[in-house]
Amino acid sequence: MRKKNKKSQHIKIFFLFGSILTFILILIASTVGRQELNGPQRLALDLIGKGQYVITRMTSGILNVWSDYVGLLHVREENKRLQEELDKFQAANIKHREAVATNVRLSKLLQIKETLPPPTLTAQVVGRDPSLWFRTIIIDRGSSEGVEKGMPVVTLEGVVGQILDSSPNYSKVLLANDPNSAIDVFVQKNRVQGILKGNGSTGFNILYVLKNADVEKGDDIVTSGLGDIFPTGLPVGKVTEVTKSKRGMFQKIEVEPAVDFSQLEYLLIIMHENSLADQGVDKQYH
Amino acid sequence: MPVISYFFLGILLLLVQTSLLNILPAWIGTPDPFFVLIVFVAIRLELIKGAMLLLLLGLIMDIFSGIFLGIYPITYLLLLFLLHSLAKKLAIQEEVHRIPLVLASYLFVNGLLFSFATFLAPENDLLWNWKNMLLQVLLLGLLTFPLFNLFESIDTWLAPRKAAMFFLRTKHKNTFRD
Repeated sequence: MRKKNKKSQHIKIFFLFGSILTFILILIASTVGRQELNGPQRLALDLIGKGQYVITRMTSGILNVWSDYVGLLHVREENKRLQEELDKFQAANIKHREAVATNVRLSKLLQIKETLPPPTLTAQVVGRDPSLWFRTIIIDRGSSEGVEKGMPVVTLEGVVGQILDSSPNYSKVLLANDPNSAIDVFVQKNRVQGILKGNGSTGFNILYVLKNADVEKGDDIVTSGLGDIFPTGLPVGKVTEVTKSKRGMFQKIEVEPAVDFSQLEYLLIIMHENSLADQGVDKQYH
Repeated sequence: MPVISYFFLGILLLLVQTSLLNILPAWIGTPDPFFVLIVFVAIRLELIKGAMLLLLLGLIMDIFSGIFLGIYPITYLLLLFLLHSLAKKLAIQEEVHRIPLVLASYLFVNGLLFSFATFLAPENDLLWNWKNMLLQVLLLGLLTFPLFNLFESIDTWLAPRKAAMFFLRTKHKNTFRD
């Protein structure tokens, strides 16, 4: 009875292993040579893939946090280095811009020099009047270069003023917007003449223009050339307001200067024919 | 010694004021540290020394500013005499009076300059601009305390040196004693 039980148990085990082996063989035989997954394979892939996805996300998340942390350790140094580089490039950029701006200004001066009667001398503004009541500047050209009192000073935009006084190397220029400055001008369109006076701030007034003279807002004002100080036709500004009061013979004309007096840097002095500069004393400035 | 030192300090301030501070935008105004020195000198130095120094500084100022020579020396000397006569009756040298003193002096000096310029060239339309004036006064009010402190530091720095120079100077031997 005992032997019978043992035998039947062996047969059961044999059948179990046999069936498993048969299943594996069938599976192998059915898989080899196929390129498509079957149902169970797809299910397995789906389940395992989900796990892979979760683990990959978690790992990448941890790795990102780690790399960010490690990266932060170096970011301060890198930031400092980049900031220094940026400062350096900005400084270089400013220098280049300044050089370009200077080049443009000097080119403009060169252009105007060709239109002005020779000789002319380029000068740079080195100082400005500190008072509230006067408008003068100091330039870096003086009597040793032939600069004399009364010589006109201009820029490409127009009239700046005239030389008031000079030392061997520097000169004082009375700006056209100083109340003590007086320049003979006329309205370009109809040659109506007047005296241009500075109003002490940013503009000019034209005096002694009769009420019946045709002057309108927007008219161009140029130098008349009378008095032999300024050449004829140099731009001075534009008329901004014309007031004709009931009393008096003259109209009140306000003019906006062609030159921005707060931005003066390089100027041109129109020299006299017999000045030292004309005799070749300082040829490099011409 | 202080006269010479203040003279060179004045030149330095004038140079800074005419070349460096003028690049500031117009709406800020132009700081006037030179004028604070003028007031400081006027109330600190003795009358003769102060007059000598202000005359020199006024003559220098004439070169850099305006077209009428001589109006700055006269204006500064008038300010000096005014402040000296006020100092006899009022305690204007006190620290609390510094700002009102400088501002009142500024208005006084500019009033004189305006009057002189108008008197010397009556045909010119010189306009008193309150807006600019108040801006300058405000700026001057801000500068007064730091600049006064700076000038006082220079003053104290100069004083012991003067004393030291007096004691350390080489004494000549009395040749008649031998």
